[in-house]
Amino acid sequence: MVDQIEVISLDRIGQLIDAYGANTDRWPTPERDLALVFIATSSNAQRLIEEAKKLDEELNTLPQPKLSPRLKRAVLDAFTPPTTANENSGTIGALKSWSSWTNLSWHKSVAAAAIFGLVCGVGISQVFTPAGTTVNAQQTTQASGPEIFEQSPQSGITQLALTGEFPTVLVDLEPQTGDGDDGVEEEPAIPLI
Amino acid sequence: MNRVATENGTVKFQNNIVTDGFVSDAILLAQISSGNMAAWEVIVDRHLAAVSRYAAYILGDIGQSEDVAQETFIRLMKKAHTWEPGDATLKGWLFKVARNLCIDHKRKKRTDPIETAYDLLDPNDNNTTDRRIDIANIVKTALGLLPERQKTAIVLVHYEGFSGAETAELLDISVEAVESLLARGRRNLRQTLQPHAIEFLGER
Repeated sequence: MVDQIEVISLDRIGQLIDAYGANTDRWPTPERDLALVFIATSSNAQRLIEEAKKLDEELNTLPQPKLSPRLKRAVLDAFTPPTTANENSGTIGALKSWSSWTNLSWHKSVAAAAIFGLVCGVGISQVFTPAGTTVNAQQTTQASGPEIFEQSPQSGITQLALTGEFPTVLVDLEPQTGDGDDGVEEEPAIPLI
Repeated sequence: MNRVATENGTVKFQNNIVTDGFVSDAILLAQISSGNMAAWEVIVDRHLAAVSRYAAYILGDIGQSEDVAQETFIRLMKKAHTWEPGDATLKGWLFKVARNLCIDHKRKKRTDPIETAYDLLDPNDNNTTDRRIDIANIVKTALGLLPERQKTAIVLVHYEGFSGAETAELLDISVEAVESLLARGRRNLRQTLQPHAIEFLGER
């Protein structure tokens, strides 16, 4: 950082004008006073300032966007005081919980037994599946994603409920009609406000 | 809930945390992390308009800029308890977050600045004429055509009053590099606006 400038050249004045424009209030403080003295005595510098004023004025024709009261209200309303639950949420909290859980040796034994059982089960099912037996694709879909798919008992519509920036998506598992509609209906993304 | 009165930039909490005079952002953030709504109101009053304005200049779209501003403040609320007073300013942090969000928005939306409807002007403003809207559209389009870093530098310095040093910190570059960005940005703007010089004559 430059604390004090004792000498300034027309070249440097030109650089300052090129970068910050004609309004010397925008110029770096350490150089401003000396630059103003230089400009007062230099017709070349004054000419550069006049040229830069044109672009500044053109930029100033763009109006300043105003703060929307609706946005302010929404931001104020978004305030949620921190709670113990909030503090424990998030990735680090989850990792801490997982870490303390895995430190318990009996849990390790249970997990190992469960994995062993799963492996054995898959192996046995492959050996004993009769030839010609097919697997129902719809059943597979439903069985493979219980955490993110929630089956609606009335309509047969499966709701994919993802949080965060993903929109809610409705997937109809009913047979398609062939009218060009692919059966996927996407709800509009819920605006933040 | 704490209430707050603001007069000429002074703040007074009315729950025995009485502080006359200017309250620093760091103190307000500590209060926010303790659940003080009044401190949140002061921070919002102090910074929301500038963040929203910046996003509007960068994105050229009021709706998107409001999304960015709101998301920026939600992130602030979540991070308030981790804030440590240091060299970084809250203003700089907010603009950094808003800038990243603007870049994400641009990447997702692929908004063409030429096709975006101009909505920065207030239609209820008596000074808003067709001619003025045309000129503002030309400038907005020219600004929208700049590369992101040049546009950010121009908006921060020309419209938001950032110093070269503050802009350098936000962009993680040197002051000399900021001046180079500004100079190139202004040169590009001049070239884009040159064919419209006659239209600007009446505005001077």
